[in-house]
Amino acid sequence: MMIVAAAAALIVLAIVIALLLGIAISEGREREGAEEKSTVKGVIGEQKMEETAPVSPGISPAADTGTDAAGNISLPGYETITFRALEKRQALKLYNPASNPCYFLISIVMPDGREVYRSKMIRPGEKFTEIELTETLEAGTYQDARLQYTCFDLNDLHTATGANIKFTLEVIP
Amino acid sequence: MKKALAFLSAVLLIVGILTPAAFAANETSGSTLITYNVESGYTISIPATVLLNNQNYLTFSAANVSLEYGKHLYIELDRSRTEFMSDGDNLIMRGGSGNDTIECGITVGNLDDDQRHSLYDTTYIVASFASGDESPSQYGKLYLTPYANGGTPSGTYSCTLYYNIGVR
Repeated sequence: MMIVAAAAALIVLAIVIALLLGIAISEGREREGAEEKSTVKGVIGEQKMEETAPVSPGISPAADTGTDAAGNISLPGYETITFRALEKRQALKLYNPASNPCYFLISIVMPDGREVYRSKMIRPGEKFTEIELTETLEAGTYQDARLQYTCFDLNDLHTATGANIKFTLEVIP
Repeated sequence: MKKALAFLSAVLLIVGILTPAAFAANETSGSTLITYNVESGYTISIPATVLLNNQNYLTFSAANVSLEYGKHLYIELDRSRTEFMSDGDNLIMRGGSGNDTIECGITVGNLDDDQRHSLYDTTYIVASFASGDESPSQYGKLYLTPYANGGTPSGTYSCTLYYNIGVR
């Protein structure tokens, strides 16, 4: 009887050790996976920074801006933008993709034609995450507001093209 | 001894069966609502410049088109900013001085066939994308045909195209 009990105890001990080992190995693998993902994110971040055009004061012809082979202009668009009511400073990501062969001038125009924001010239690779409106807005939903892009050639600043991105502006209290 | 073990096993079995039931009797139902908002957005790619002597069309593409189900992203020519002839059919291309002009025919086509449509037919839409598309699901190719004759002064003639872009 004692031998049977001892054997049973050994089997239980072996099972417990096996389970603990399995858990330890599994956790180790998860950690390795997480480190790989972090590394990938870091690489992506570095690539973006490398694509960003060198910052120089004022507006000057920028030859090394990573113009794509097709010479296309990329325009970021939004279906809906949300602002806070009665505040001039607003969180909004506005940027000029690094591959663009032009400067951006971006305006926000309300459906009634009022311009409530105008950027300075934005170089390729430059971005903003906060803007300041020229006036505060009342809470409400404004259909067909416009993000007005005007694109200027990097070398001679002539107007290359332009586009109105129509979006719904949600102004929340 | 065997009887004692059998009895103990039976007791453990009964306790094992009854315990979850006892907990279940006191359980109140609950739920966790998990939400995640995917912001709708997109990037449109339009040609910066086109030299018509080399290529008589331009194409449009998009990236990261994330739209609500059933909605489409469209690109249309902005009639208020693009310089058209008074009849609205053809573009005006201006020479260096601005006084010399030529007309330029403009039609819209699909990427995968040679059919061409007038801007009236497409209501000035030049490309339309569904969510997730990088190539237009409709149209996407803008053909331009400058009309210069023997009496047209030599030089470079140009025009600028402006677009309205939106979702509907």
